[in-house]
Order: sequence, then structure tokens, then C-alpha cells
Amino acid sequence: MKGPGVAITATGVVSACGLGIQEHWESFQTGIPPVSELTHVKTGSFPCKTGFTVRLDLTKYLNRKILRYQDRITHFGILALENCLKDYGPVNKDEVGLIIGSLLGGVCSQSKLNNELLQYGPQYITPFSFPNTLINSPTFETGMTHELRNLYYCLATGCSAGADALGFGFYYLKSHPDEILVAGSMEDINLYNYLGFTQHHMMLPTNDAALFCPLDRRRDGCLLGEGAALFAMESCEHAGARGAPILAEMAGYSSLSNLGSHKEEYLFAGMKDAMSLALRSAELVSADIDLVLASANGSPSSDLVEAKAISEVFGSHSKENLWVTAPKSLYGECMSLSAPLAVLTAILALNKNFLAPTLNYREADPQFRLNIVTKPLQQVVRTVMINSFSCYGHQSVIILQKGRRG
Amino acid sequence: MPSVVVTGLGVVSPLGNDIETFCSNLHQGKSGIVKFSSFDSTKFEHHHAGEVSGYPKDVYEEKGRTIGKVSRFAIDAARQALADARLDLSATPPHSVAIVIGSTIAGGRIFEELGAVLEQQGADKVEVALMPEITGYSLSANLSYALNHSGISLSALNACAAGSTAIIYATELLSQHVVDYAIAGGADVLSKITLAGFSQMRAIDQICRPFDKNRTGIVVSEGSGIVILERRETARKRDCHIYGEVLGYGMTSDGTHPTAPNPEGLYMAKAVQKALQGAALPADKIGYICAHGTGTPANDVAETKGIKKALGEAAYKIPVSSIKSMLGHTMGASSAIAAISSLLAINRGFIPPTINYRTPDPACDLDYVPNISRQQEINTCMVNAFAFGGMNTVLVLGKGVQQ
Repeated sequence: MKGPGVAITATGVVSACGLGIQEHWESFQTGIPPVSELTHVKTGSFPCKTGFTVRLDLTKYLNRKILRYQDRITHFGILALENCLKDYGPVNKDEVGLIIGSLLGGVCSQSKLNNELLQYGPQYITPFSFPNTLINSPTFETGMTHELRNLYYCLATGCSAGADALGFGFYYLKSHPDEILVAGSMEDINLYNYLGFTQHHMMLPTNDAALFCPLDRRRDGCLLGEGAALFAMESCEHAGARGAPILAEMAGYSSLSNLGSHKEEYLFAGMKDAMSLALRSAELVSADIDLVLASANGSPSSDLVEAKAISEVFGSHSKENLWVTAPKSLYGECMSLSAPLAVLTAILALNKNFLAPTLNYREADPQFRLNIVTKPLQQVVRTVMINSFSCYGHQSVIILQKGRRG
Repeated sequence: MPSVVVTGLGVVSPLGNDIETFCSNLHQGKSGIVKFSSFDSTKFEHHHAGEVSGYPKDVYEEKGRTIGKVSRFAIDAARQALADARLDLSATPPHSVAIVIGSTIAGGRIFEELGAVLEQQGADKVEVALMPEITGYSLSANLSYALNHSGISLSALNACAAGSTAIIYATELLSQHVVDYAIAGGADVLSKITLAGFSQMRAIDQICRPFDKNRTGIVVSEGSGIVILERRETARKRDCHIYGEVLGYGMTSDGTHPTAPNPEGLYMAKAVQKALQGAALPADKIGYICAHGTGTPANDVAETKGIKKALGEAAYKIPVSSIKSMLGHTMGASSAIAAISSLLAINRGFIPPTINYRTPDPACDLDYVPNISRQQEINTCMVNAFAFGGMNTVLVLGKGVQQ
């Protein structure tokens, strides 16, 4: 169903690259990945001690109560939502809903409570932290802090959850064109996701950040990132009626799970199908796409599977007129936040004609047949495909196009 | 908008692990609360809970994969629902089926065990195979895996309203023709954190007495409720029984407090109004309200006020009952199980009672169907679900006959 158009009209974003869309644009142009030491995670004897950590002094932006009682993930959400609402302009908060995708949500509070339970017993845990143990606690704590009173909705579909949050927004607005949503994701680097990536051999096995090189022949794993990226979504008519600039129109979306096996042929089929379904949902053909923001995070196997799937879906178009870049090289493997940060990258492409580079790209992999963006480029872009593929076999794809008036 | 109907039901609960047993216990007003044995509760203040029988372990095997108990519940309930709807997934076109499933903390119990290993033995001793089980996604992923499903598979982690929110998403996917069938519902499992957390909030008791003057809190519980949804024309073509129709829904948030509801039920009322608007129904057409009715002092008053605010005078004529009095609070599964109970009420012509009701509370002055179920024909009902974060979710379900 095509239905009414869905527009993105405001952004709120924080990551290792900075705070706000302007700082991200500047960071993307420098060509230097903003990595630093993982100071707030016990990395123990594991080799990788670097990540795309947010180095912002949060005490400048958030009050003491929030800093003390909320998890780090929620701090990012609250900050990003504040920026997003400011960017949106005057709004009746009763009408604004919040849709968030999350990998582990309130896992830090969950772990804190669990440790209290183990150490002291069930009668000594802090009741105030209990609501924060829920996966959707960063969602509702963020929404409540800014007194949003429409729906709160949390999707936990692993590393594709951020894309799926925008996806639910897409469907919801088609049937509720008079409402306003803020959708996206927040993530923090914590012991649990750090362990998950390390134990599953997805993390870079060294501490040399220059080797975090998606799509490169030398790729050998990822570095984690964190932050929050939230977008105001409304129907194009709603945006038009209030004279708001449309940063991007969400033209299509698909989400698929292919869990029969972790084997590569299943992943390949899933990725291919997800891209094709997204094109169909947008009523576009592959030749309409100018830029693909790949999900590639430096995994030796998944990057290759994705590259092959892109080549298959786009055929001859992929070698000639289609640019491909791996934006995770700019802000890290941010789990469920990766796709929303890719949405920001797409917004920059659509509005500033700016193609973000795949950082640390040096050596071509002879197996790839792609036109990879290796340095910042000025190029007119009308339509962007964003891939969000999780290693679990969950594939989500978003297609954004240049904003038109509703 | 094309009409979306329910054609299959499946339940795993303290009141029975199949629809017939569950329905009969509901009808008889039985209690599923027991002295539970899922984990050692010696150090806890409370030892009673709703416990699903027949699931003694924390982890299970499904086609060679280790899964948590919560996934086991969901898979078993989904298989019942699929059989009930006579839907064979292997015979459906690729990507035509969506799975949307809700929970609070899907892998709660697994997390507790992993956390203990991590804390006491170190990070390198954590069992790698179990790491994915702590993500919310494990629930829908395991379900997809078990059912050989390939298509949309989502986990909606919306606390105690999760089951309803999953049904809502599935309804949108169907009415927008994204898929042809959906497997939707919720699942949750008893966990130490939940028991300790509610206990420390002083919101827990051995007996759940919703709307009673002496109510003191919830009884924690577990289970799963799954429904099969499809568009009416598909169901008609397949010639299968239609349990009912999703007529409308409404979602809002209080936006003030993580646990305490708005005392006037202001935004609850707004969710009810949105749901009625979506269903294009006047207030007096609602035949039964399956309340959130947790049995906490705050919820039951706020809910009563919210119902009255939204429905006006009509509220006094509508029977309202809380099945949590029998089941306990099954958390993320509760609203899905409530939707199933409501559909059974519509199909079998009875209203499940609010048991343990002894002393009327002047602040709760609606018809709560005390203690004994009532034989009554119902055409339309409303399912309330409220959750931490002040989330209000209301479903309106109808008989599903062409009007």
C-alpha cells in the first residue's frame, strides 16, 4: 500500500561525532574516525579497548537527577529528544509519540539489580531502579522526561531495531496521518554488548582502530559505537500544512527474518529479498537508487555476503551509477543505533549532496564489484537505500528520497 | 480499512496449557496461584505466584538450539494457535506471515543466570551460546526458527502492555496488506528480578483482589497468549472459524511517572476514546471490559476513573472484570491472554469473574462481576493494558460477524 507520504522533518542526534547534525557533518568531512579508549567498560583481558565513545560532558546538558538515576543509554535519548524537539519547533506534546528500537535497553540497571540480588538478597534491592530494568525503560524514561503523551513503543529486534522503529513509524503514520512521531534509537557501549560482540568474534581482535575497515580486503571485525539518533516523522501533508522543510521522505521499508540457519546462503537470500521488498514497497526499481548505505561493519563474512547481495539486486547498475558506502566506519557498529545514524548520513546526502566516505578503506577486495565511496564526495543524490542487517539473520531496509512538498 | 479477524488461539498459562482447560477454569473462576517452585524463593518475602505447570527447566532445546523458557512458552502457544486456525506455514507464500511478539524482559531468567556467572566467575566463563537469549529479539527469533518461518519477525518489548502492542502492530501489517497472516501475542516468565522488584515496591501480595477495598497488589505470574490474525476475506476463503475482529485500538502515555498511573486516569481515558474512535463505536456499544485490574491500590482507582471519564454514564452498565484475580499478572503476556479471554467470552457467551472480591471500595463503583462468571451474550469488548512508563493501550474487539 502506498498511502500518504511519510516525511522526516527534524533531527536530534548525539554520537562520538558530536551533538547535532552540523557537528556530524563536520566530523564526516574530516575523514578521521572519532575513536577513543573505552573507559567505562571493563574490557579485562580482551584485546579491543577502543570504541566510538561519546566524549561529551553530559553534566552540561542534563540535570543531576537524570544523571544519577538513569542509565547512560537513557542520557543519550533524553539529550537527542531535546534536540529533536527544538529542531521541530512548537508542538503539542500530547500529540507526539515515541518509537524506539533497542538491543538490550535497560541492561545496565538490570545487571545492577541482579548483582544487588546476588550479593545482598532480594529484600535489599533498590525499588527505584526496578522500572529501569525493562528493555523499554530508555524509551519511556526519555519520553516522560520531555512529557510526550502519545504512544511509546519499543521494538527490540537486535541490531536492526532502529530501522524497525522507523518502519513502525512508517506504517503507523499511514493509518494516523494527523499524528506526530519521534522515532530512532539509542545505545550505549556496556559490558553486555561488549561481551556479546567479543565472544561471538565480531569485535576487532586488536586495539588498532585503523584496522576497522568495512568493505576493505583487510577487514577483521568492528569497533562499537554509541549515542542516540531520533527523527521527527509526520505525514507529508502534515508537514506541508505547517510549512516545515522535509529533510527526507521515507519511500519504502522492509523487514525480514531469515532464521533457518546462520549459513551464508540464508543471509544472502534474506538480504537480497529485503532489498527487493523495500524497492517494491517504495514502488521503485533498482536503477532509481543513487546511493546504498551498507550495513557492512568490517565482518569478513557478512560484508562479503552483503556486497554480493547488492551486486545481485542492482545488477549492472551497481558498477556504473550506484555509490556504496559503509557509514559504520564513521561512527562505529552502534547496534540498533547504526541504522538511525545511517538515516542521518542519508539526510546529509539528500540535502547537502554530500557522500560520506568509507573510512580506513585502503585495499580493494577482489571479490567485490561495487563503487565504494572512499573519500568525501559532492554528488547529487535523490534516493538512498539504507541496509540494516544483523548477524542474527534479521534484515531491514529503508529507502529515503528527496523531500517533496505534500 | 479491511477488517482484521482472529482465527486461532493458543495459551500457556497457570490456568491451563490449552484453550479448553483455560476457558473452563476461567468460567469456573478458578485460581492459578500456587506456592511456586521455578526457583528457590527462600530469601524472598513472597512465595506465591501464578506458575505454568509442566515446564520444570529454565532452558529447553528446540531443533538443536538452546532456548529460554519464555521462548518455549511462546512456541508452544503459537503451535496451538496455528493448529486451531488450521494454518500450515509451510504452505503459505514466502514472506506472507508476520510474527510480532511482546514481553517485558524476554530473557529475564537467562540474564539472571548469566549475570551470576559473570559476577562470580568472570566474563570469559559466560556461556556464549546463551548470550543472544538475553536480547529481547531472542523471543521472536526463536519463534521464527522453531516454525521455519521467514518473513517479518518482531519483538515488541512494551512492558505489561506488550501483548496488546504486538496485536496492534500485526493488525496494521494486515490492514495495510504488508502480509496475509500474523502470529501475534505475548510471553513472559517468572523471574527473580520481577518478584524482588515488585516486592520492594510493596506492590505484591499472595492473593490478587482487584477492585476490592482491601487490595494490596499484584501476584506475579507467567505464560503466553498467541493469536492468529488475518484479513476477513482470507479467513472466509479458507472457511475457518472467526473468533472475532480487531475493531480499533488506542495508545497514549501519561508522561509523568514510571510506575504510578495518572490518578485521574486522564490519558487512559484518551486511549479508550481513541480506540472507540478507531472502531467507530459509541461508548454504550461496549458489552464487556477486560480490565487491566492489577489489584494495586493506585491502578484500580485510576482505571475506574479513566473508564468513567471515557465512557460517561454508560460505564455503570458495562461489566468490568479482571482475570488477573485468577491468573496473576502474566506481565508481557497479560494483555494477549486478556484478548484471548475476551474472544472466548464473545464466543462462549460468558463474562469471566473478578475472584477474591469481598469488600466493595467506594472509589471503585463499577460492575466488577464479583466471584462468579456471568452468562451473557457479548458483541463487543474492550481490553485494557497499562504499563510502566505510564503507557496506556486499549484494544476493541468485536464478534466479527458482518453487520
